[in-house]
Order: sequence, then structure tokens, then C-alpha cells
Amino acid sequence: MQFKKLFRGSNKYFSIFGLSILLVIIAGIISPIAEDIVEKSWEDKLENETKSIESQAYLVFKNIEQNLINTKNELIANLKKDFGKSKSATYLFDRINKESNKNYITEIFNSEFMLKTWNHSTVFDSSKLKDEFHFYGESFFSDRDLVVYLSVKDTFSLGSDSFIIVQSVPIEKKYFIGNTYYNKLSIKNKLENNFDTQFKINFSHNAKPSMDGREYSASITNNFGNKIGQFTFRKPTRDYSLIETGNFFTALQSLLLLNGIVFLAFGFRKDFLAVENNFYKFLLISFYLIVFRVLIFMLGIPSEFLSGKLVSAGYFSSTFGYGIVKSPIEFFITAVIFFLITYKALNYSINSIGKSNFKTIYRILIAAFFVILFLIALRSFGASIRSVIFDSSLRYFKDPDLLPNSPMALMQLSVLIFSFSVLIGCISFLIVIINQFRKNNKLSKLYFVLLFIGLQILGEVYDLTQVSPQGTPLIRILFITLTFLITYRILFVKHDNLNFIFTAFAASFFAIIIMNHYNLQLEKESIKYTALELTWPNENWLDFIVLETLSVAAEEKDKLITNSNNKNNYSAKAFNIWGNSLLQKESVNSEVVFIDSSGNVLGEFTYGFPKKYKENWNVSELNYNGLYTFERIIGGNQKVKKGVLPVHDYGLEAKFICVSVMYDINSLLFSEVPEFISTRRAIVDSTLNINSLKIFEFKNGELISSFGDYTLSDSEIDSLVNVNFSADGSAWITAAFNDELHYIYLVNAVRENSEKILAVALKEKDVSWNLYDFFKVFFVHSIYIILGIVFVSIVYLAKQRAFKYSFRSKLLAAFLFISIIPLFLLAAYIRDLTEDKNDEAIIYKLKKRADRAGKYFDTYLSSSTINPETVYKKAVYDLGINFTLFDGREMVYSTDSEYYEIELLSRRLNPVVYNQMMNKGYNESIVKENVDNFYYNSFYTRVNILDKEFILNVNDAFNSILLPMSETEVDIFLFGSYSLAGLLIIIFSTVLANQISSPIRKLTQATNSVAHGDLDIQLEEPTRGEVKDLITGFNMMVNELKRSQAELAKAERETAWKEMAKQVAHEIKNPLTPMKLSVQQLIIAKKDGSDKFDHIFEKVTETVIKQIESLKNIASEFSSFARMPGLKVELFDLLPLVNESVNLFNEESVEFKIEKNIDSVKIEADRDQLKRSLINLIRNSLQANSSSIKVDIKSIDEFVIINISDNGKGVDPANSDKIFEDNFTTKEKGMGLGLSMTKRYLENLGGEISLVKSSVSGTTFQIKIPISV
Amino acid sequence: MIIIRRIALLLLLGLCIPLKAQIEDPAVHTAILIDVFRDIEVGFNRGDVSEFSKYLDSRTYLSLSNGISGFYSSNQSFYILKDFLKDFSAFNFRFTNKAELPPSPFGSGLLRFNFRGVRKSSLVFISLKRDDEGWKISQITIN
Repeated sequence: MQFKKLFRGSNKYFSIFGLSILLVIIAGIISPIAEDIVEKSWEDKLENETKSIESQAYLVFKNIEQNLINTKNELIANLKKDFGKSKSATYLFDRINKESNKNYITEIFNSEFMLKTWNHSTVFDSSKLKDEFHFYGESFFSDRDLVVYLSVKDTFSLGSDSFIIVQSVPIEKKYFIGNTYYNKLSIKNKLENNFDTQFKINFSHNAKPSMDGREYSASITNNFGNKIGQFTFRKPTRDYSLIETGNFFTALQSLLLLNGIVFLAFGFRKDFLAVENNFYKFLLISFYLIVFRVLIFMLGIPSEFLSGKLVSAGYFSSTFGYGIVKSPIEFFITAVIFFLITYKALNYSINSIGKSNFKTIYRILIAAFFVILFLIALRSFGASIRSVIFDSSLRYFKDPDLLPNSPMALMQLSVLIFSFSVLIGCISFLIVIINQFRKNNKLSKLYFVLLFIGLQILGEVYDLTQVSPQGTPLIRILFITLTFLITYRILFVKHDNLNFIFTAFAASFFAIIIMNHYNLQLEKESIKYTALELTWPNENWLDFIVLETLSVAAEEKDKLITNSNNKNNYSAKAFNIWGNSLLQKESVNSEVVFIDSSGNVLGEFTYGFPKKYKENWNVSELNYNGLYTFERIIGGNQKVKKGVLPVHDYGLEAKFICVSVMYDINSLLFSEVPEFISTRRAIVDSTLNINSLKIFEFKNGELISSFGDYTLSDSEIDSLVNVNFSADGSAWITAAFNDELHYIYLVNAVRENSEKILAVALKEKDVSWNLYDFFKVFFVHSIYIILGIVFVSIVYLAKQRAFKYSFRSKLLAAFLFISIIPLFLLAAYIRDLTEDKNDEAIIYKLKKRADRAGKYFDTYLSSSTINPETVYKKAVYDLGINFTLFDGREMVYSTDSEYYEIELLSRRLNPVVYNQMMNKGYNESIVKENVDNFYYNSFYTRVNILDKEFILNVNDAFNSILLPMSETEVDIFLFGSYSLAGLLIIIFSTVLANQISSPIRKLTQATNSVAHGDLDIQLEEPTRGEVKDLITGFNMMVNELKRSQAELAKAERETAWKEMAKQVAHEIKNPLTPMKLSVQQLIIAKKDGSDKFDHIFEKVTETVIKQIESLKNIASEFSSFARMPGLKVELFDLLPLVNESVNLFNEESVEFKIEKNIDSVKIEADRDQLKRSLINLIRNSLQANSSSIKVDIKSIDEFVIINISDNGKGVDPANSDKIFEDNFTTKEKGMGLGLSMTKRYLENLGGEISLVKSSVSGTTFQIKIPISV
Repeated sequence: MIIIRRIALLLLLGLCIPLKAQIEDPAVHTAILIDVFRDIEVGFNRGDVSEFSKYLDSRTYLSLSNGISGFYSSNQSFYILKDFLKDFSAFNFRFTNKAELPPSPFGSGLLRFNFRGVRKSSLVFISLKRDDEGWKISQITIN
């Protein structure tokens, strides 16, 4: 029982806190014990975990295998089932190209191993299938150069024809490309993530188990029980397991402590609410929030418990507060806590208006202190936003995507919350300042204006004292002006929720303009950094890259050279080396080449490496004794770093892996590299869009290379090389190229007896403020603000329990439905239309190029004996068209053959194209093709070359097609314009719904008031329309009801009196008769001189007394009957009743404010009577022309005190003593019963009502009711 | 106020001029660079970025094996490297190749770390550049 008490009432919070702390201590005690157990039972644990990983990892393979076999069996069953029903010549093709089969690669051969049909990638061809030794129905790995597949082959018959089907599923990609299109696929990574250890997979049936004792190898067996591969994993280590156990308990302790802190706050909630002084209250809540923030940061919450982009310092990180904003999520949490504190500060400052009664000197000091705080806040705001820009790799204004990614979205939300907090913080400072200078205890507009002017001047002075003022003077002036405008509205117009909406939009405006200001500064600085980076390429780094690439190759060399026959695809191997090395990651101009011992190129992969710099390898010069690097000077001054790694195939024949890297300004854009393989351009600071840069390199006064779309004239060259450089050899200048102003940063470096000048230029308009950038972020902020408004409204309605499907919400829903839906449909239609038009434009341009290529072949190949390949190569230079030719289903020539050679593109014709052109006889075919997630348009057409038909392919992966408006631009345009339209529709719909439903809502409220007995209500009548008739009717009805009620009451009273009189007469008559008879008997006895007179006298007086007693009883009973009707007393919570009473006046144009220091208070009273009393008081306030009514509920000792204050015209002092008397009224139609009845009622409850304050500026009534214990 | 501060700045600048002249001596540069590389080595060995965070440039190029790649501010670089060295439990680092001479000092070496209980190593390349405040780390590549 005692224990249960601990978890009741407010005790429970302290108990939970105590329990949490106890559990933290217990976890601290258990942690070393658990670690000890892990250590002592390690051998068993290791064995169990190893077996568990083995069985689960094996299951991963088995699941893939089972799905593969099931799909293959289903496909065969369906092929057999439907065969004969379909007359289509393309029956096999149609079946295997169904959506259900899209994740599998299906290739069907006839019994002669001739390929009949296929769906997408190539895994097998005839020769590979012939070499395949596995049984039909048996699964096996197909280890290709770029991808490893799990395959299964089988046979089936359709009619008299027999077929071989090979179904494959990709499981491991060997190549890697660090761009957004790359689709990662790795069973190895999946296993490593699942089991948190390192895995190696050998896809060969003769793989040898690892001899390393730290590793465990297990065979992968197929559905026939034959070994097809092997996986090897690192066994769990004791040290790592101990660390993990320790980490688990640390995390548990952190969570328990957090739990304790939260519940401790709930425990002190009552004490907090009981604090009378609002300033102490504000200090307490701020202190708690700051301590809470610091504690969760110290506990590593949430950073230590989450992973991914939101906790990555790579997106945003600042050293402020020892790392309290070291990631986007930490910044968000800090911003939310900051918001809570500033929100409380605003509330406190508003509540303290008129309450500051310090001496003048103290008031001046307080005001001066807050002026300084205001200026510091403004500067800190700028500094923080600067950090958001400079300490972030997110490019807020340059993000090409319409919708921001998760870190960008969170950062923008955090910036908005932070800016909003700064603004409301500054507004609260202004309120505190102006509150110190009241005139006749009233806020003065004159002082307000003076403060505004003073702060503008002080702002300027403050900036002058700063080494690096934040923002610009204009931003500062605007900031001060807007905060004053909002403060003015709060203090002198109206303090309502609209102020928060204005503040939110103002916060967004300031955040964006300051962000934009610093972003431009950063971009300008980046011009300088780019120039410095490019001045002297870091040759040591290029050496390092070559070395690292060859190290990667050396680690894998056993896999690279597998046997001495010629089936190795060395180009694919070169591509894999490139993809897994720094060459790819750092996106440098490079090539990887395999050469044999005679110097023949076996295969190669080049990335932006100019053909003119390719090396003719002289094998006699190559060193056979190991990895080495060297450099070549090519083309006069171009340095190429090279490295060679000799490798041997089983020690028989030497081969070399040669890597070359170079740095070339002309090749910065890698224009010859298709988009699907293009990676980051790390050499240039990512802040800038490299396409917008112009770079010029001068050596000894001559232009030696340039990058960009501008050619310098001689005079421009002269002016650039002859600028005045500063002592550190740099210069900032502006110059016009093509009549457009450019910022140019120049670096002059002298090295090795030569002078080199590098100039990096960027258009002035690219680093200038523009509306497009502003609105791109502003729309995201607007969405957040709208969501915030919706969220607050829902919370408010839920709190008020006012959720109802009202007429207004129906109207609003109807308006939004009929306007937003067509808007979205229109946007979707326009987007689709633009997409279609873009596709049409692309296809048209591709078709034109294909036509030109076809005609070119006709011209040069029909009447000459030139080798076709020579013509193809010439066509690329003459026409600038990249193309591919297919002979039947096989690729025979491509201007981009290296991508076919490395097998990133299939040499086999797209099956859809083959079906359309070969089977169905189409002359053209248009398809969407893809490399991973990169999709491109492909146009195929027939061409005749030397009397032979080929299929010519031209696509936009290798041919750049310029469109008037890209899809992203269309998206941004649509998003911008339609969001604005949507926003306007929401605003207008809300206003309209509000206006139309306003009379109905007023009527509903009024009816409600009438139902609760308030017959004094009268609604304001509109000038015309049906609503006027309705309201006039309602007012008449209420008046009539009031009159009828009065008459009825009067008639009832008269009837009751008559009835009562009759009853009284009747009741009185009864005792009078025996009294009369007794008195007559006494008179007779007296007259007769009866000797029994004394006896009779005694008897008669007894009878008379009895009857008099009876009369008294009758009188008492009638008195009881005539008393007030009985009260229906019950126990209930007072606060909801106050809310209900106030809510009845929602539609009145008056601002209500309820303040309370309690969450609930139980009283024993008559609900209806009390509600009528409250309504009566509020109605009186309204009739006294109040625009603001405040209901303050407090619990003091054993009473609940309700103060109802208004700013109406007040009670005449001459009448203040009479207002609680019966029949006293100052109203034309009043009866003078409201306050007197309220007084009587409250006194019946043991409470009271009093007039606390009354003046021309308002009245306060106080109600006191005993709290029920 | 501003005048006093500006005079103070001028005086300070005056004091710095002889220092700057002294720094131009290559031997002085080498001595400074030896210290910088030693601090970096100590920092990586201890897994403690604060040992060399003062050398991080306002735009440092980082390319790490966890996928981080790009130019980052010194603040960002500090936490990126701190998180990296923590996640990868670096326990040993030594420069195997260093050039402690202007104009392009650099160092490369092998970083040994413990990842998921497995000991691994990565090649590290660090280059420095000179700015007004001295030598700064312009690039760290760990692959």
C-alpha cells in the first residue's frame, strides 16, 4: 500500500525520477558484471555467435536462390500454359518482358544455343552458355567483369521446340561511381551491415577456406548441394564485444537519466505554477530549459543514438557552445529550446506591462540594459546566420532540387525557428524598455517613437564600434523598424495570434536576406579560393593519387589477372580500378591502362584524359621490380604524373597496370564524360557553379590556357596581366566581358624562374542579390509557417475540445476542394505537357542528328572505297554527333565504344527495339534506356551502309541536347507560381468562409446563450439580405421570449398566490373550529358557575395551545414552500466551466484572456447557476463597451478566486454600493436581478462576490468560492 | 574609442613586421612546419583533433573513406574529423613521407584504426598552405 502511494498524485513524478536514478546506478553496477560475464563466457559466446552469423548469412543466399528458382519455374509454367492460346510471333518476348519479371534477367536460347529472346542486360551468350557446366535446374554464380549474378538454367519445350532458359539476378556490383545515379547493389555490404563485421565473398566453387584464425569461412551450396562459393567473415572479437556491452549500458544510462530529468520537471510543475512572481517563473523555466539542453547534449542525445545525414557535421557544424550546434539535428533542438525561452520572455514582458514600479534611476538602468541586449541580439543573429552559411556545405540558394533533402529541410526549419525566436526576443526587450517609461501609468506612443529613433542611432553607433559588423546597415535599419512595428501592434493595437504570424514572416524575411548576404560573400571568397587552388596544382597530391590507385590495384591483383587466355576484359578491370580508387572519388583527369609485355594495350579506361596526352608505352623502359611513379612533361608545359604496377599471370607473362593523372584547366568540365559516369568536380570549391566560371592562365605574360565560354582580346589580356598586385601577389578587380561586369580574382605566382598568373572571373550578377534566390527559400519557409499555424490551431482546438464539423469548416473545405484540386490538376497537366514537349523536342533533335549521320554515311560510303570505320570517326568530328551502329542484335561500332567495352552498356541491342524493328518491321524505335538510375532518350533507325542494313542509335546520354526549359526549371516555376496561388486561395477561402459563416456562428452562440438563460442577448443586424431578416427575427424572438417569460412568471406568481391563499385559509380554518368550540365551552362553564370550571379551563387551554401550535406548523410549512428553489449541488472542475462560459462569447469582437495558476480545481456548486452568474458578469462587461476581458483564476488557501477584469467604461462610483441590491439597474431594459441573484447564490455556497476595482478604464469583479477538499 | 583601437592595431602591426620578416627565412618555415606536422601526427595518434585544429583552414578540403568529400569550414572540419577518428577508433599514425619545405609542404602516411573490431589501415595525405596567420591545413585525404 505504501509503495502504491509513491505512484499516486504528484508523488509519482518524483518516484519515477528516483526510480530512473536508481536504475542508472544499477546499470552502472551491472555494466562491469555484464562485461565480466562476456569475458568469462567468451569461448561459448564466440562459438554461438559465429554459428549464428554463419547460418543467417547462409540463409540470405538461400532466400535469393529460392526466389530465383521460383520465378524461373513460374515463368516456364506460364509459358507452357499460355502457349497455343497466343498466335503472336513475339510470344516469348512478350512473356519475359512482363513487369513481374523486371528484376530478373531472362535469356532464352534454342537447343542449338542460339539466342532467341532476352529482356535486358546480357549475362550469357552462346559461347558462355556452351561453357557452362552446371546441371539444368541447378543454381550457380555467374561472375562477370562488372557484376556477379546468381543464375539458374533450365530447359522447356513449347510444341515441338525445345529451349534453354537462363534466369539470373544481380547480387554484387564490382564497380563504383560516386554520383547520384549510381545504384548500389552489394550482398557483401548487406551482410556487413546485418552482422556488423567484415565479409569477403568468393564466388568460385573451388574457393579455399581462410587460414586466418580470426576469420571463419563457410561454403555456399546450391539447391543441388554443390559448393558454388564461399563467404568468409571476421569472427566477433572479445574487445569489440566488451566495448559494445559497455556502450549499451552507457546508452541505457543516458536514456534513463533523460527520463528522470523529464519527470522531475513534472514533479515540480505544481510548485512552479504556485510561484506568484512572473519574473521568477520566467527565470525558473529558462533555467530548466537551458539545463535540460546542456544535459541532453552531454548525454549524447540524439547524436549518439542516430546515424545518417541529420547528425552529420558534413552538412552543418559550428563550434558554438562547445558543439551544442554541431550537426543539423543539434541545431534544431537548440533552436527549439531557444524559441521556448524567448516565447516565455515575450509572455513575461507583456504580462508585466504597467507593473514596473521601480525608482526612475533603476528604470533607466533596466532600459539601458535591454537596449544593449537588443543590439547584442541583433549582432548575434547576424553572426549565427553567417555560421549557417559558412559552416555548412548545404547550398541553400543553389540546390537544384525543388524539394529540399532532409538536412536542407531541417536546417531551413531550424533557421526559421531561430530567427523567429530572435525576433520575439527582441520584441520582448522593446516591451520591457517601453514599460519603464510610462506616462500616468500608461504606455506612451511618444516615448515609443523616441525609443525607435534612439535605437536606430544607437544601432549605427554600435556597428561603428565593431571590427566586423554583421549584416548591412540596411538590414539593421529594417530589422529595428519591423520589430518596432510588430511591438506597436502588440502594445497599442491588439495583441492576438496575428502578431505571431507577422513575426514568423518577418523572421523568414530577415533570415533569408541575411543568408543571401553571407552566401554572396562566401561565393565571392570562393572565387579567391578557386584561384588559389588552381594556381599551382598540388603535384604531391597527384603523386599520392597515383600511388593510392596502384595500391588498390596491387591488393586486388590476383583477381585482376586470373589466367593467361585472352578472355579477360581488361577495359572492365581498368574501369573497376578507376571506380574503386581516388581517381574516381577526386574526379581527376586520368587513365588506367593494362599493357602486355610487348607494349600492346590490353584494355583501358580514361576519364577526361585528353587523347593528345596518351602515352605510347615503351616496355623496355618499364621497371619490373615493383610499383613506381614518375612524371612526364607533355605538350611543352603539361605535367602528367604516371605510375606503373607490374603484375604476372601465374608468373608466366608480365603485364603492367599503368595509371596516368594530370591537371588541365581546359578539361575542368570533363565535357567528354557522359553524365552517368561523371563524379564530383572536387578540384573546384563546390560553393560555385563551375559552369559559370571563366578561368585564364597566363605564363610570362601570355595566355596559355583558358576555361569558359569567353575568348580574351589582346587588350584584355594586357589589362589582366598588368594589374597592380598586392604584396601577397593577389588582386581583386572588376572588368566587363561581353558588356557584362565580372568580379575577377588574380594570383601572381613566381616559381622556378617563371611567372604564372591565374585569373578566375565570375559575372557580377551571379554574386548579386536576386528575387529568384529569395523566393526559393521563402516558399519553403512559408510552407513551414502554414504547417505551424495548422499545428497550433489543432492543438488549441483540441485543448478547448472545440473540434466540430462546423458550417465554417464545411464552407472552407468546399472552397478549398473546388479551387485547390483543379489547381493541382492544372499544375500536373502543365508539368506532363512540358515533359512531353521536352521529350518530343529531344526526339526531334535526335532524329535530325540520326538523319544527318545517315546522309553522311551515304555520301561518303556509297561511292568510295574508304574504310567505314574511318568515315564513322570522321563523322564524329564533322557532325559532332555520337552514335552507335548495330548489325542485327550486336553492336558493331560506337563512337563511345569504351562504355560498351567495359560492359556498362550492353553490346546487345535493346530487346524492345529488336522486337519492334526486327520482329514487327518498324523503321524507327524510340525508347527510354538507363545506366543505373540515369535515364536517357534513345532513337533507333535503319541505315544502309554499303548495301547492308544497320540500326543506327543516337541518344541524349552522349549527345547534349539543349532545351528552352529543363524539367527542374519547370518544376521550380510551377512550384513557385502554384504555391503562391495556393496560398492566396487558402487565405481568400478562409476569409470568405469566415465572413459567410459569421452570422450563423453568432446566431449559434446566441442561441446557446439563450438556452443557458441569457435573454439579454441582442445581435447586431446587418443592413440587408436574408441574414438581416434572420437576425431581426431572432432578436424579436428573444425579446418576445423575454416578455413572455416575464408575463408567465407574473401570471404564475399570481396563480400561486391565489392557490396559496386558498390553502392557507383552508388550513387555518381547521384549527380555528376546535379552538372556537373550546372557547364556547369555557364561556358556558363560566356562566353556569360549574364546579368543573378549573378542569374545563385546563382542558380548553390545552386544546387552544395545541391548535395554536398546529397553526404555527402550518405557517412554517408555507414559509418553507415559499423559499428559493433548491440548488442542484454537485462536485465538478471549475476550469472547464469557465472555458465553456467564455467560449459562448467567441464571436464577439472582444479579446479574451484566461490566466490561471492551477490546472484543475474541484468545487461543490450548482453548475448551471454558476455558469449563469459568469455569463451575467461577462455580458455586463460587454455591455460596458469592453474590448478586452481577462479572467484570472487563482487558488489561494481554501478558496478559488476568479477575477473578471475588463477595460469597459466602469461602474459609476455613486452606484458602486447599490449594484448588488435587488431591482437596481442602470440599463434601459434591465431588471436589476443579475448581480443580486449572483450574490445570493454565491453566499449560499459559502462564497462571495465583490467589486474590487472600478474606474473609467475598467472594472474588476472578484468571485470567491470554497474549494472542495 | 575607435581611434584608440586603431592606434593599438597599428602598434601591434608595427610589432608584427619584424616577426614577419623573420618568418621569411626558410629555416624558420621548416622549423614551424616540423611543429605543425608533429602536432598533426600526435593528433591522429591520439584520435584527438584539438591537437591540430588550430591549423585547419577556413576552407579545408577533406576527402575521407566514410564518404565525406568537399571543402569545409574549420568548424565543420573539426567535428567531421572528430567524428571520423571516433567512429574509426584511430590508434596509430605515422608520416612516412614528408616535405617540410615551402611552397607546398605535405605529408603522407598510414593511419591504423579499429573498425567494428577489425584492424584496418588507410593512406593519409595532408597538404599545407600559407596564409596571413601562418601555415594552415589545406587538404586531408584519408582513403
